Amino acid sequence: MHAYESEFREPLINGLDKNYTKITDDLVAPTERITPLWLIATLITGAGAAFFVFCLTWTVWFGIGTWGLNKTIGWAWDITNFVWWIGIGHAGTLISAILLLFRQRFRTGINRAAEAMTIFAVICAGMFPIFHMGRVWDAPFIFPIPNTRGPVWVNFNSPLLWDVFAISTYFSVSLLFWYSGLMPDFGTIRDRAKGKTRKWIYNILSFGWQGTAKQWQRFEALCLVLAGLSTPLVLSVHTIVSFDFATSVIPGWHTTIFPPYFVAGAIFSGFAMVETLMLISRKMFSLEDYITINHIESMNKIIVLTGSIVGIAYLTELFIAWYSGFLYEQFAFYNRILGKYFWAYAIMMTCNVVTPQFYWIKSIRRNLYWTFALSIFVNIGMWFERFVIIVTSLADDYLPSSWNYFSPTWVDWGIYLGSISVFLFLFLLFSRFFPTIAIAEVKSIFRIASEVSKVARAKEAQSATASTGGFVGLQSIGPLDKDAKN
Amino acid sequence: MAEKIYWKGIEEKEQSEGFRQIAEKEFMDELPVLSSITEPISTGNSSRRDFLKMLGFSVTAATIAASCEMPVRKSIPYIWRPEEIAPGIANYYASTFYQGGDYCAVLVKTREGRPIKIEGRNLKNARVTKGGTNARAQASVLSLYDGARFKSPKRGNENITWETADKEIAEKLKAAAGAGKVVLFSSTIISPSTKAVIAEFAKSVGESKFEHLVYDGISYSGMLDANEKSFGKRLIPSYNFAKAKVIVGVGADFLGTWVSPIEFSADYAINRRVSNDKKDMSRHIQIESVPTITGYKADTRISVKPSEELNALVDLYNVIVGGSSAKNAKVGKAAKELLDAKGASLVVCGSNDTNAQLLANAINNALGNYGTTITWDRPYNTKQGSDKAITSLVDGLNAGTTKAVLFYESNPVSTSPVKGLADALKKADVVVSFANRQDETSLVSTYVTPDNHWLESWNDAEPKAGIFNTTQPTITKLFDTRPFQETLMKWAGKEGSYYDFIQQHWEANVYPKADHLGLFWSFWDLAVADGEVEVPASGSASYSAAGASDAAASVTATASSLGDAQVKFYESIAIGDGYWADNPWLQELPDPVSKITWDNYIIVSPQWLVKNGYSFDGDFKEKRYYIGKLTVNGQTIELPVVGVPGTAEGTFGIALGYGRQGIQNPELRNGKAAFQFLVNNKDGNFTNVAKASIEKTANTEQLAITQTHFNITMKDLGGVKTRKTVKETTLHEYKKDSMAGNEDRKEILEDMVTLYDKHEYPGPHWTMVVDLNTCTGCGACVVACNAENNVPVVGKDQVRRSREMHWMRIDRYYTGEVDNPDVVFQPLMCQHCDNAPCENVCPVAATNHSSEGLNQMAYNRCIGTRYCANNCPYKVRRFNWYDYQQADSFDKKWGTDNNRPLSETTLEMHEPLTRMVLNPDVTVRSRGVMEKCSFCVQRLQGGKLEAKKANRVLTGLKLDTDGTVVEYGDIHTACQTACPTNAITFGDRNNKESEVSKKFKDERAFGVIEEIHTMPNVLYLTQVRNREEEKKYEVIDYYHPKA
Repeated sequence: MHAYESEFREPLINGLDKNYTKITDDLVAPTERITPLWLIATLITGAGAAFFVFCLTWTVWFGIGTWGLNKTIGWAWDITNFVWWIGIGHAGTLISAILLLFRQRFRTGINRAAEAMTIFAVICAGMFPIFHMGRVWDAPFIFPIPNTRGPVWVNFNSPLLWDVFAISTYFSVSLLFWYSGLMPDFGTIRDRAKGKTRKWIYNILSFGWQGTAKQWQRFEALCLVLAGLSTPLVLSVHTIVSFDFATSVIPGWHTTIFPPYFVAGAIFSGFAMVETLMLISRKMFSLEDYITINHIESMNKIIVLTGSIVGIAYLTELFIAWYSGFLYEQFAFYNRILGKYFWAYAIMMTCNVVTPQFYWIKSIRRNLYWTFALSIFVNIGMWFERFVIIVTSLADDYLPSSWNYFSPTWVDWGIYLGSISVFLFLFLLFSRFFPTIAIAEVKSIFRIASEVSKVARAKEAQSATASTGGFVGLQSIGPLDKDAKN
Repeated sequence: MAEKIYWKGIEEKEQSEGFRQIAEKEFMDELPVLSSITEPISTGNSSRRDFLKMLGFSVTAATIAASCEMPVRKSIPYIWRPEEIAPGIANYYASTFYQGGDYCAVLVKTREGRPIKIEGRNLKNARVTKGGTNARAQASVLSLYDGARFKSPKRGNENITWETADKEIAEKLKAAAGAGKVVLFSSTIISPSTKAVIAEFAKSVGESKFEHLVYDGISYSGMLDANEKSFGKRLIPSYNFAKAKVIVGVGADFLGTWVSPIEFSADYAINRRVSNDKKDMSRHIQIESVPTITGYKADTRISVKPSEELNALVDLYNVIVGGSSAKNAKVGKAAKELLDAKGASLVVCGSNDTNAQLLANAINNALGNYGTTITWDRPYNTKQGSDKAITSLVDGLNAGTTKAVLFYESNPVSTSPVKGLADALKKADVVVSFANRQDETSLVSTYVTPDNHWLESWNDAEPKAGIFNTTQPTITKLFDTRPFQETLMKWAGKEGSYYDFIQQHWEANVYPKADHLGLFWSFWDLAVADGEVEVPASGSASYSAAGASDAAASVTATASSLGDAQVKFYESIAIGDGYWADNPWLQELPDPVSKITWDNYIIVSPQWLVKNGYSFDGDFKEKRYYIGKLTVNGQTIELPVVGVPGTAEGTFGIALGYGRQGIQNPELRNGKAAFQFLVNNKDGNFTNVAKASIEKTANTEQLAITQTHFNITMKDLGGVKTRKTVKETTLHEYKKDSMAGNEDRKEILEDMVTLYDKHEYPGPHWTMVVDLNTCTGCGACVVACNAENNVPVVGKDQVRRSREMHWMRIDRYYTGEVDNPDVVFQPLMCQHCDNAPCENVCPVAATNHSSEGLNQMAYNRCIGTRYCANNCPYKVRRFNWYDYQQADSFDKKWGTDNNRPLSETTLEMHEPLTRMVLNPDVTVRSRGVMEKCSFCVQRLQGGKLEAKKANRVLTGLKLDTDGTVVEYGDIHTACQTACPTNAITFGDRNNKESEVSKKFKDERAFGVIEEIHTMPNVLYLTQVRNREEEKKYEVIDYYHPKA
C-alpha cells in the first residue's frame, strides 16, 4: 500500500518540521543567545578553573611537596589524572576518524562535540606531565633541541620522551581535524551574523569560507586525509602512554597486555565522557532532535563492548600473575585485591566491569537516566583503574621496608577537581561560541524530499483515522527513516 | 630487460669518493651553526656583520647581567694563608671525641679551616675504638655550628663580658667558700689535665671547702659499686669480646650503648666474621626485655621481662657458682654453654643494681674469665659517676652547706630523677653552668660561662688506663667562649693557657712513663699528630666473693617486687642521656630497633598491643598509634604505644633523654622526659626498672617512622620470608655448604642472560660488599653519610610523610615468631646496578651510567619527573619535595609564610652558620631534584687524583687476617670508614686482588632481588647464626614451586 520503508533503522534526526533552515536555526541558536543555565554553569566552572590555576601556582611556588607523594610513591593523582584525561580524549578521535572511515553516519550528530572534548581533554591531560615535574622551569629539557651544552641530549629510551612526541602529535592532529571541520560552520554563522564585529570575527575564524564547490571538494579531501592520519593515533597514543608503565620493572606495571588494554579502556572512558557531556548539552541547548536515543544507544553498545574487553583484560592480568609463578607479580595482584587499597580495586571492578553489563538490556541502553548514571560510573571506574595501576603498584613493590601509603592533600584535590572544571569550562565556552553540532555534516544526512512526503503521508493517515473514529499514532506508519536508501 | 639507470652528472655515474661523501651527508654544506662555533674568530673570515653581532650580543648580555641583582657573597680571602691550608684540599687532624662517657678516637676533616666531617683514626692510633665511630661522634660536628650555642658569658639572661664574669664569679666563689662548700658537679671526666686543673682549683678554694661530684645520666654506679666490693676498685675492667667464645648478655646493649660500644662492636665482629678460611664464630646469647640491636644480633635471644632478666642472672649464678639447676630452662642451657667455654666466655649485665652486678662478677669469676676475657690491666675511665652524687648535691644545697655549684658537662636538672633540684639550686649563692648550649641546668644557673666546643679546644683524654689521647682544636672558637679549664685556672688565679698546662702535665706525668727515646717536644708533637700514646699498664685486682651470696637473695626479692607489668627506661642509641637531643642529625636518625625518629614512645609486645586494643591503623596508612598513659609510682607519662617484635609481654620500654624542655628550638623538644621515673634503689643507685601500669587513652599520635611493616596482615603471600631480600643460615649449615641459605643464587646467575650489550668498565668497577653478619644496625654509617653528602634534615612532619632524605637506610627484617623473632639489619643504599632500571626511564638522561659502574646523577639536568624513583626496585632515590637545603634557587622568606612546609629545624639548617658544616665537594641539591647515594663519588675522584699526582696505581683496602682494617688505601666511602665492625667493604672489582673482588665472589654473596636482572654492584653476605637447633632458613623457590 505504501512505499518501502526500512523498519530497521531509526532516523538520525528526529522531528517532522525539519528543513535546512530549521536545522541551521536550531544548531546556530546556542551561539546567538546566552541562557541563564549556561551563565551559571560557566561561572561555577570558571571559578573551578581559576582554582586549578591557583593550585598549580601553589605547587610551583612551594614545591611538589604540597602533594601527598612520598619516597615510595612518586606518582599518584598527577599521572592518574593524566592517563584518565588522555583516555577520555580518545572517543573524539575514534568518532571523528574511524567512524568517518567506516561511514558510520550517526557520528555527525556527536563528532564535533566529541572532537572538542578530545582537545580539551588533551589540554587537561597535558597539564599533569608538565606540572608534575619538580623543576617545571626546566621543562624544555625534554625537547631534543640542539644546544650548546655539549653532548647533552634527550634519552630516546625513555617512555616519557615517547609520551612527549605522542601527545604533541595527537594534540596537533586533533586540533587540525577539529578546526578544519569548523570552518564551513563558522561561514554559516558569519552569514547569519547581525553585528559587524561578529561578522568580522567569524569571517576570520572561517578563514574566509566561501562555500564554493572547489572548497567543498578540498574540504572533503582534507577530512579524509586527517581521518587517515588520526586513525593510527587512536591506537598509538594510549599504547605509548601504557609504555610508561609496561616498560618499567615494577610488578603490576611490567605487563605486555597494557597497550590493547589501555586503548580499550581509553575508548571506554571516552565514550562515557561523551555521553555525560552530550546528555547535558542536549538538554541545555535543546538538541534532542539531533542527538537522538539512537545515538545514545549506539554509544552504549560501544561502552558495553569496550567495558567487556577491559574486564577480560583485568581477568587476564590476574591469570597471568598466577601463571607467571613470579612472587612479586603474584603479590602485586594479591595486594590489589586484598591489600590496603582493596576499596579502589573494588570500585574499579564494579564500575568498569559490572555496571556496563546493564547495557545488554535494551530498555536500559535507551534510557537517558540509566545512561547518564552509568556514564558517571564508568568515568569514576576508569579513574580508579589508573589509580589502582599507579598507586597500588608503587605502594608495595619489591622491598617491604619501603612499602608505603598515599593520602592526597588539598592541593591534589584542587588540581584534580580543578582540571575537571577547566574541561567543563572550556566545553561551555566552546558550546556558546562554536556550533556544538557539525551543521554542514548534519545536513548531509537529512533528506528533505522523503521527509516532506512522509509528513504528508502522516497527515493523510491521521485524517483517515480521525474519520473512522479510531486513533492511530504516528508509529503505525513505521519509522520516519531518512536513510532508508543507504 | 634491465632497468634503466639515469644519472644527472658524471660524478654520480662514476660514484667518485668525493661525490659519495657529499651524497651521504644530509646537507651539502657544513651547517652554519656549527661553523660559527668551531671556527675561531681570529682566523676565520668573520665579517663586519659578525663583529657587530658579537658586539651587540656581548653588550646586551653584559647589560642584563649587570642589571640583575647579584647576591652578595661574603667570602674573605686569607691575608696570610696558613701554610697547611690549600683551598680545595682537605686536612685531617687527629683528635678525640669525648662526651659524657662516649669516647671515640677520631680524625677531623677540615676544609678551608672548617671541620666538616669526623672519621675514625686508623687502628694503630685507636687502640680502644679500633678505627670505628658511632652516630654521636659523627653527628657532633653539627653541634659545633649550632646557632643556639651561647655566644658570650651570661648573667641570667643578660650577656656580659668575660672580665665581668670572672670578677663577679670569683668574688661570689670566695664568699661561698667562706660560708659553705663549693661543688663542681660534672659527668665523668677522662681528661687527666682537666682533673689536674680541678685539683688546682680545689687548692685555691681550699680543699676542705671544695667537692667534686661526678654523676652520669646513664649510670654505671651499681656496676662500679659492685666492682668496689668484689675487687676493691671502683672501676670497670677491660672486656675483650674478641677472646670470648660464648657471650651471654643480660640486658646489656654492648653493641649499642653499654660501656664502650664502638670497641665492643669491633671486637665482637672479629669473632662473628666467617669465611671459607674460618668457618667458626662465637656464640652469643642475649637475655633481654626491651629489644636492642645487641639482642637482635644474638644467635639466641631469650625474651623476658625486666624482672626475669634479674632472675636469669640468679639462675646463671645458681648453676655456674652454686651448681644447682636453673628455673628457666633456656637460661640453664645458656649456663651450660658458658661452663663448657670456661675461660673463654663472658657474661655482661646491664643492670644498675649493685647486687645484680655482684652476681655477674661472681659468675665471671666462677667461669675463670678474669684474666682472659676480662682484664684489670687497663680499666675504663669513661664511667666514674655515682648516683649518690646527685642526692648529696641536693642534700648539701638544702642543708645550706653547699653555697656554690659549678656544672660542667652535666645537666642534672634534666638527667636525674631527683625532684626539687631546681628549687634547691636557688638556695645556693652562685650557680655557674659551663654548658655551651642552653640546657635545663643552664636555665636555672645564675651565670653561664660557656665552654668551647670540643672541636675548638685543646684537651687530653685517658679512656682506659695508660691510653692517652689528645684533642686539638680544628677551628678558632666561633663565639666568645672559653675552655672550661682556662676559666677554672683563671678563677684559681693561675695564669697561662690550658694548652701550656696540658703540655706541662704530660711532660710531668705521661712522658716519663712512655717508652719514647726523644725529647719531650718530639714526644708531644708525635702524640698530637697521632692522637694517641700508649704507656705500659699492669693493673690487677683479685676477686673477693663478698656479698655475692646475699646478692642472689636480694636480686630475687627485687625481681619479685616488680610485679607483672614493668617498665624499663633505656638509653637510645642516638640521643643518649638527652645531650644529643638538640642535634638534628641524631633526631632524624631512625632508631635501629623501632625505626622511629624524632620521638620517644612506649615499646610493648605486638601481641599485647593487639590483645589490649591498642592496634590502630593496621596498614600504617597514617603511622598513627594510640597513646597510653603509663603510671609508675604515682607519676604518669603519656606516650604513643608501639609494638616491637621481641618484646616480652608485660614489658614496657621508654627511651630516656627526650622531651628536653630546655632546648631553644621547640621542634627538638619532642617526646616526653622520663628521667624522673628512675627509682632510688636500696643500694642508693637509680634503677631503670619499675613496676608500672598502663591505661589506654582515646588519643592517637602520628609518629615519624621510616619503616613500617604492611606485611603483617599478609603473611601467606609475599611476606618477608618468601622474598629473598635478606638471606641467612646457621653455622651448622654453613660448615656443610658455604652457599647455605644462598642456594638459589646459582640459578639466578645462570638465568642472567641478556641480548643487549653490557657496559664496559675499562678502568675500575666500583663495588661494595656488606657483611650482614657483622652489621649491627647501629646507624653510624647513616649519620656519616648525612655529613659527607650534605643530606638535608627534613623534620618530623616530613618524615611522617615518608620524605626523609637519607641516602642510606638500614632495613630491618624479622623472621620467625612475633614474640621472639630473628632480625636482620640490611644497610641499603643505591645499588649502582649495571643494568639500572632508573637509567632507561629518565627522559633527559639526567641519571646515567659511568664507565666505572657508577649510576650517576646530573642534578643540573634533572627536571624531577620522579620516574627513576618509581622504577627503582630498591626505592633508594630521594626527591627534594621542598627546598630542604636552601639551594639558593628560591627566596628564603617564602618558607616563613603562614603555610610553612619546612620545619623549624630545616630552616635552622639554612642559617649561614649551620651551613658551614656542608661538604664543599658535594653539590647542595635544589628543590625538585632527585638525589641518591653516589658511592661518595667525590672521594673516588679525590682518591684517583691522589694516585695520579703520585704517579702510582690506586691502593686499595688492606685487611688483616681477622678481618680488621689495616689500611683503607686511596678509596673509601663515608659509610665504610664510619662502620665500627668493618661490615662494609668497598673497592675496585676489576682489580682481582682487591678485598672487594674476593668478597664479591664469596659463596655467601648475593644481590638483593637480582633475579630481575638489575645486576647490582652492592652485594650482601649471608647472615650466619651460630645455633644448634636446625632452624633452617626457609627458602621458597618461586621459580619452580613444588607440585
